[in-house]
Amino acid sequence: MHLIPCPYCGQRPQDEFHYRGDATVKRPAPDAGEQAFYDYVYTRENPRGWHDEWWHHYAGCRQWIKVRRNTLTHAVAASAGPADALPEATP
Amino acid sequence: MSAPDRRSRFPASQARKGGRSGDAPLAIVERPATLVQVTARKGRQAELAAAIGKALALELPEAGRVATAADKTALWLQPGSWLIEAPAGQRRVLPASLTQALNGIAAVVDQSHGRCIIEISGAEARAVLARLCRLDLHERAFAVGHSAATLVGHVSCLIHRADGETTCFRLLVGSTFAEWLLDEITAAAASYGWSFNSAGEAAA
Ligand SMILES: [Zn+2]
Repeated sequence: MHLIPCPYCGQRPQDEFHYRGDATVKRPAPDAGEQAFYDYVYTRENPRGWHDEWWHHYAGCRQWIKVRRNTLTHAVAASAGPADALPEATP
Repeated sequence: MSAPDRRSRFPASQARKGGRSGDAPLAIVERPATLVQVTARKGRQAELAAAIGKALALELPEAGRVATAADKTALWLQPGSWLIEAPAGQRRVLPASLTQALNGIAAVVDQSHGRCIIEISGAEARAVLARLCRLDLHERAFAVGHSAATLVGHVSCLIHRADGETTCFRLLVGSTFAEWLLDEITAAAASYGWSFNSAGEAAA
C-alpha cells in the first residue's frame, strides 16, 4: 500500500487521497496571451523522477496538499500545506 | 430555528443481536448528540479559541486530538475547523448561542441532523475495526483522546478513542451512511457476536 504523509494527519493510505495534478504550474498574467493560457490549462511535463504534485486528502482533513513524489520509485520526499512551499530541491 | 430532533438514524434497525454469542460481545450503540461545526474565518483562529474557551470552558484541541470539559467535547476536523459535541438536549440552545458568541469570528453550522455517532465497545472492538479501517488503532498509536478523520468500511468517518471500562471507539459518520456502516460493522463482528441499540431505545 502506498502511504502519503499528510502535513496535518500524518501517514495515510493512498486511497484516502485523490491526485489533483501538477503543483508547479503558475497562472499567467491576465495579459499573457492565448498560448500562455493554453499551456497553463493543458500542457504538462511528464517527468521521470521527482515531481511536485497536488493531492486532495478527501477522506481525511479535506485539504489540498503538496507532495514531492518520485514517479519512478513512488518514494515521497516531502509534503506541505497548500500555502506552504516544498523544500528547494530533492537530490 | 431548528426543532429538537430525537429521531434515530436507524429507522430500519430495531434493537437486535447477531453473530456468534460470546462472553463479551461487541456493543454497538447510537449516541444521540448535539453536533455543531465551527470554522474560523480567515485569520481569526486565535479569537475562535478564546471565544470557545470563554463560552464553553473548552480548549480547542490540536490536529488528531479530542478535548473534553464537563458535558462538551471538541473534535478537530481540519485546519481551522472543529466539531463541538454536546448532549442531545442542547439541540435547541447550543447552535444559536454559538452563532451569537462567534459572530464574525467563525462559521457555525448545526450538524446534529447531518451526522450521527456510533459507539462500539468491548474487548474485541479493536479487532473488529481492524477489518474495516487501515489505521493503527493500537493503544500505543491511538490512545484515549486521539482522533482521526479516515475511511471506515469505505465511508468517511471521524473516529476517536473514548474513555471507558472496556475498549471504546466512537465513529462520527454522515447520517445517510449510518445504516450502511452499521451493516459493515455487524458483518465484521459476526465471528465475535454483537448487540445493537439505536438512540431511541438507548434513551428509553
Ligand atoms: Zn490530511
